[in-house]
Amino acid sequence: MPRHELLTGNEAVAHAVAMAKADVIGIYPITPQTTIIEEICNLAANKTFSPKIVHVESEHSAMATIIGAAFTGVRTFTATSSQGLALMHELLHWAAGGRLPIVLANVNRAMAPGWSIWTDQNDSLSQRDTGWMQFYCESAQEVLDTIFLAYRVSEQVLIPSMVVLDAFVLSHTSEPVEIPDNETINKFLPNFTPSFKLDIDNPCSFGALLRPQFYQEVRHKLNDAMSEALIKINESDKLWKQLTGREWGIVTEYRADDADYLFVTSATTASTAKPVIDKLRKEGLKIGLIKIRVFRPFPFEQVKKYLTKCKRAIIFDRNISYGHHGIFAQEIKSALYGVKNSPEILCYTGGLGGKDITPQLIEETIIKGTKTKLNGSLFEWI
Amino acid sequence: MKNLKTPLQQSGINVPISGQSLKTTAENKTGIWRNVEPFYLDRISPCAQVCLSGHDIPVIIELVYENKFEEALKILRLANPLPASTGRVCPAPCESSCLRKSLGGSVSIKQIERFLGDFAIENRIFCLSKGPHRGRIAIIGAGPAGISAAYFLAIKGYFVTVFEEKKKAGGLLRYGIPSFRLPKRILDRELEIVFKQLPVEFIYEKRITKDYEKLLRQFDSVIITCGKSISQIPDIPGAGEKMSGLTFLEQINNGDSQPLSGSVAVIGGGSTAFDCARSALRLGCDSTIYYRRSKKEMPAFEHDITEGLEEGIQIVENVIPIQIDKNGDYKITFAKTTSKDRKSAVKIIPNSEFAVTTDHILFATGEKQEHLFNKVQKETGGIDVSQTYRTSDPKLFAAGDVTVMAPGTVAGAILQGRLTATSVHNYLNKTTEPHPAKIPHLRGAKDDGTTIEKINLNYFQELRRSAQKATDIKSRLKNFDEISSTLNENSVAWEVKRCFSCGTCVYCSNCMNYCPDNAISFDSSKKRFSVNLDYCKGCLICVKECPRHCMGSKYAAA
Amino acid sequence: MKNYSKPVLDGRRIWTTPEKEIYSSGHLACPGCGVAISARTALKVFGKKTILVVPACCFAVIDGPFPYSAAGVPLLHCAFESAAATASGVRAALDQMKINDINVVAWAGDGGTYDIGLQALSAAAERNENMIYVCYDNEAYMNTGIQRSSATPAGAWTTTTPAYPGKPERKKDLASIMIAHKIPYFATASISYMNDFIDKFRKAKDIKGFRFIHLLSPCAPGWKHAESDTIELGFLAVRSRIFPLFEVENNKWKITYNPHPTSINKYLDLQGRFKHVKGEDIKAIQTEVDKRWEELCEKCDLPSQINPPEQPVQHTRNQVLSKEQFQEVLSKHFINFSDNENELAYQMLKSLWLDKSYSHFSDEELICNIIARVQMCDCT
Repeated sequence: MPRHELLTGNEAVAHAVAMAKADVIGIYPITPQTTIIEEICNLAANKTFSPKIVHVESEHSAMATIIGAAFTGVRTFTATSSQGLALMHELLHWAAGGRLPIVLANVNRAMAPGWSIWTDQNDSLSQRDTGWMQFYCESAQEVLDTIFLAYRVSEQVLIPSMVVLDAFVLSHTSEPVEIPDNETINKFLPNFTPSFKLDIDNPCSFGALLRPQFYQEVRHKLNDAMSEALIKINESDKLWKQLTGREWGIVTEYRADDADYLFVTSATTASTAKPVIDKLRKEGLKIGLIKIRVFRPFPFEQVKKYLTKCKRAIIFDRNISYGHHGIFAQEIKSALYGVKNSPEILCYTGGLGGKDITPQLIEETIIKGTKTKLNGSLFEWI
Repeated sequence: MKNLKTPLQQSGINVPISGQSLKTTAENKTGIWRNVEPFYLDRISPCAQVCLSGHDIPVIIELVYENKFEEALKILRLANPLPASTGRVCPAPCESSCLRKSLGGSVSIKQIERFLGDFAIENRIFCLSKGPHRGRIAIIGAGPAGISAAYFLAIKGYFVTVFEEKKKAGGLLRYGIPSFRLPKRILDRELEIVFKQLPVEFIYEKRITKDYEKLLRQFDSVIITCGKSISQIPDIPGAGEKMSGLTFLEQINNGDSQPLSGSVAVIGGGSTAFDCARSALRLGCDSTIYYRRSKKEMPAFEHDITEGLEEGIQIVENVIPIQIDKNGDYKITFAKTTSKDRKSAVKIIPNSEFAVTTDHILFATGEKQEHLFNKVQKETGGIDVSQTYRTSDPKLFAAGDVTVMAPGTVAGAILQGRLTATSVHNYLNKTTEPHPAKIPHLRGAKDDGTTIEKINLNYFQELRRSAQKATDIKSRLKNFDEISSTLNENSVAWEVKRCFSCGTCVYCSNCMNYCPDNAISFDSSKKRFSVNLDYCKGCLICVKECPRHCMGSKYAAA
Repeated sequence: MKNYSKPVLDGRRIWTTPEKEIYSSGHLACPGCGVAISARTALKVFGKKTILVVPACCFAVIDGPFPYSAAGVPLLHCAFESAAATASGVRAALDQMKINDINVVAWAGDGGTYDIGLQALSAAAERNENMIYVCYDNEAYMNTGIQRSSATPAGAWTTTTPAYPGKPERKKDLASIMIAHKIPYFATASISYMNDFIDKFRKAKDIKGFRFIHLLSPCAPGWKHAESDTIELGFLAVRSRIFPLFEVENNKWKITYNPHPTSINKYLDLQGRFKHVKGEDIKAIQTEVDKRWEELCEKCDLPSQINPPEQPVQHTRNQVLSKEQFQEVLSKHFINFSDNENELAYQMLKSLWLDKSYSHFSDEELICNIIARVQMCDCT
């Protein structure tokens, strides 16, 4: 039987990792991720699960350690934020290129300087091209469920997963969370059997020099596996629904079916936006919400499916690619290039460094978005 | 999407997703990088190069190192049937050329030989004949050369008859060398184990001279090895045959000696002179050696001189006797001389005469050969032989001091006996071997010399030579007992441990262990290392790190 | 006698290496590579039940490109700075799977150890991770083409210290850094002294916790020496005390080979990277070497003998060895005496030990002399 507990986003991560019985966990503190590893240590201390926790001296070593462990054939985990993720950058490539089913929780935090501990997505989106899957969550429940999904899919397609949650608004905010029982988890997430590992009976080297003809070949396969991952995410989501009644989709829609306008966003901004959508619907505006949950692999088909139905898409990014505009917006635009019935697209960026995204702010953005006269594309700061 | 194949997959190549290796590097033949190439080369060691009887010394030492005394003896006997004797009397040039000299003193090679000889005697390891028995050979003279020739022919399967004018075999070993250097008991026992099971017949007290031609008809081949047995007495007033040093030694060795008193003057500077002087000491005389050149030009071996001096012999240098007067005792008139070296003639200093009174005189001024074999012998001197020890008569061979190639040492005579035996064998089998090999089982080495610079001293440390145990001087002079004892097994083990084994592989495996490319392997059945040129990159660490210069290198583009 | 640890070397049966080869031929090391010999020998000691973790370094290339691997054991290439961390992960996973009989070995160059990898290394040492970390130190970034590292000795030419006088700074004292972590085992080793090398690797293999082995690894292209001089340079480095062989086990320091010192000149002469080093520079290097040796001796509780007097050497001896000590020395010389011989040898020792006329003999020489004397006596 599932049980219900009041959990912060970070605690949800820790509980899910414990239930997934991660074997090796490399830990290193950074605000606002720290409570994840603290909770993991607590859970390990009270024998909820018995991982090997390696108290490393940097995020770089945290990732290096679990890469070593993953190559040896066990389930691994680490968590970080912002600067820590940036320090890991080299090893993110190493994990993906090594085809290791590592799961990492990243609590979105703005990059320094000046120091900021508050949320925005630039840290994780800067890792867009490392070959990791990225899941952006809006609630503690989604975080919990996504950790299981991430392990399941990663171990199927052998690509690491990054589960991303917003600093404080999600990481440190308590919500009631339904925790599935172990039986359910066992059904959903079988024990990890590696398809390759450091094996003294079959000694191989991993990560040796790849000559040009082989390098691209291996990367080609990684990219193919990303495509396959979308199918697996979808399958797993369906299974999850069977087991728990919950599904999270790849792209989530809210009142989008008949909408003329779509507010497109990600993570907690989506949950803040829902009441605004309801309010504006009541006021007669045919507006819906699209939440991009899976950023990598990028859900081209789903994005096309929803966005070709509307007249105008108002994309709200809590991130920025300097010299361009919001990163989700770029991605969505690229998905719609040359597609028939593409909507008009407005790109807004706001909420950086933890700047509050309130319902009022979203409402203003939507109103602005519906009223702006468009001449080509548009990018504005909110 | 799922069914799409990558370009390499379409051409049937499956690269694992994580790029893990599929095989070892063994198919990567790094030998093609090479432009120099190492090879193994056994070189003749400095000791073997100078060995008078042609022993491959490092091979023997290696077997002793492994405690394989019998096998070592087998190798030893390939060149020399009398190790117990030569191990006592050989001047051991091997030790003078030993490269260990500078790192604790040369290896006691002679003592190792002696040890093995005594080992054979004590364990009664007989020499056996291998061959199908065929052919009859006569040998004239049972000295070292004759014994050697008889032995090497007998083990090849010939019936050998040795004619000896004296009562027993041994020649110089028995009648020339005093017992304190080579006990007769050792010689007897050694001859016993050598000949007891060989088809050799000794006919004693049979002097062959002109009747050798008769033997030529009776035997398939005849070898003359009768040595030089007569003292050469200088032609000065008063000197006579009675003063022969050789005769003096022979009497002692026959047990016919009488105690002497007073003083003896020995004229000469060779080993015989010292043997005479030292024997006289033991009979109760004071001995003085008079030599026409200086002490350092003496032909005697160093150990003769040092032991002689230890025992109390006086040496008077640069004097030459010019007249002897007998008047109860003897009065010898000497002239003083100057000398440059051993080869040039001495110069007498005018008006330098002085007289010495002595009770006895012994001449040890060289030996000569009687003119017995008129057809093949030069009027004054030895028998003329070719490089294969053949005389002008094809059936007649000669070896040892009787020939013009007189070796002058026991070991040298043994070598000549062996080479003559090979020549006889070749002659009888009509094989045409150009030149018998000095070292009997040489392993095809082309020698470019081993010097101390070529030895890698990183692998050796200074180890001192073990001294030989000798009787103290007072007790020595009381009798004719042997003065030095054979090294015990521990000391022999110590000595072989000290050997560098120059130029001879002893399987230390340095080459193999230090090869960065794992390209050297050891075939334990063939007992040899080989370089796998598929992988050798030509760094030549193996050559450099061979402790004993058994490897070489050459330019060779792969 | 504690000054001497050398058995009688007779050059015949020199090294006792394990038989089983694991490392494959055909690897990509330069001709005469010191690392290749070290790896080959170390793997023989470690055996098949070993996992190697290799950061960016020469060995990452030596082992071979895809699809090849020379190591013969599982080998994980990892990021330059992460050898110790990655190896920690491998060990953590093995622990989690309850596998205890596999050696986890990080095999890294000096760049990945002294420089970029020092942080992870220090952390793993502090955590006392159960692994063996081997730093093969070729004293520069050789894989990238001879750039200065903090392991490069003062005076050495590299492509990034091209002007006279070469690298101005001294070599980082990594040994002290590592030992300060109070790890269970630290050792320096040179492949030239293969027995010592093998002993140390065997010892390391049997100890639990963080073990660090520092190898000086001559590099022909980088040091500009003849390819065949690799082993010779190891000998010279040790004998000139530039690279002393010692170990620290449970905080106890021990010099494992105390050579009679040779001058550093020959070591420098064989290497092109020191070609410009002359006169005063050599003196400065010698001073530094001597200073370090003195420090080391102090830690090992040994007299330093920086400048042993020229011939004739006078050895002063105070106390006669005890019978047990003497037995120990004899066994080092592979001497197996009978009781009688033992007694005789010890009597000789007692009479000669303090005899002034034997003071030009070193302790070892005197004992060798006694051994030889006993051997020629008949003691039965």
